[in-house]
Amino acid sequence: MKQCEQFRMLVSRGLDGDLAASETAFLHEHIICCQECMKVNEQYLRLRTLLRTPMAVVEPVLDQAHVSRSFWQMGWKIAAMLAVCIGVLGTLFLARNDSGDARVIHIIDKTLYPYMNTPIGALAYYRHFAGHVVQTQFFSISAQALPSMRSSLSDSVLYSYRSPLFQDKEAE
Amino acid sequence: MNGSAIAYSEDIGSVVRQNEDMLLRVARCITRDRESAKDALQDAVLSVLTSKGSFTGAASLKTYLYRTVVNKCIDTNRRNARWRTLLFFMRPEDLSPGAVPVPESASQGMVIKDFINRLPDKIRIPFILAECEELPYQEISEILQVPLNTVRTRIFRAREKLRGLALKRGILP
Repeated sequence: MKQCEQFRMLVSRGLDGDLAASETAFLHEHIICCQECMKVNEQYLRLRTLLRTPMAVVEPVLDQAHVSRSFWQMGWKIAAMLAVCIGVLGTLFLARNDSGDARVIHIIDKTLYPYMNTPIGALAYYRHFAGHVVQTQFFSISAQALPSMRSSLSDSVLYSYRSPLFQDKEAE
Repeated sequence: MNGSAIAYSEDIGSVVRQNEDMLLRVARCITRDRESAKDALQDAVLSVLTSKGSFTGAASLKTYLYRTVVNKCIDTNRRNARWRTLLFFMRPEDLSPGAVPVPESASQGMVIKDFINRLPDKIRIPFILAECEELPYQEISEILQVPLNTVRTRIFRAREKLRGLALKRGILP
């Protein structure tokens, strides 16, 4: 079989006129006694004949395209693509971890007067995705910004950055 | 432009004029698209005209031109690869009018051509050059800049692959 494969390569080369006289004779000797290689030779010749048959030139005519048929025929492709999209989006949705972790990373000065527009601290907001921190945002906290922040942040976050001094003043 | 440069461009011009049809046919077979083939041929001629320095004279001007066209076509294929997803949704048979009767051998030939278009470039390009353009293996080896034995093997592999596909489809006995 391995030997026949080498002869098949010779057959292929012979079709393109790449064989030396000795190789041609060698191949003919083999082909006469090997039915398999003879058949391959005929098949290669048939392929060549088919390839060289003049084709009917058919220009694509969009007006005559079977749009409805092609739409239904490619329906399974659209369905497959939608399934992949839904799978990817679903995975992203399930892996999402929206519980942003906000915490105070530094309190600059607890003695500052609370109504001055001076940073009294900084808030770091971490967004997690699939167990990793993918986004970190830092906000400086001024006393003036506090009332609006109070409504947008949860009580526990607010509590964590309130300085004792500020809580006292607000209580007054 | 000095004298040798003018002579060079005139040589290129005459080689292009003599082989225009053949070059366009090769480009069309490799790129599988008429407009991309024209673009690739134009790019190749421009590139050959502007880069005289890279032509060493080791191969003939015709071979050099072929090589440039083939390389440009491969580049075009690579560039066009991004549209493959779109082409995946198109079926050529849907665009062709079904009512036109096509002789059986011609339709089988079209199926074989379709098989050739699906072969990987590595084996398809040498096969096209040998089978459709009837170029000798030595010249193909110079055009593709690969060893002669590699050309022989690749053409053989392409033929075997086509034979297998045709047998599976029942085109060959």
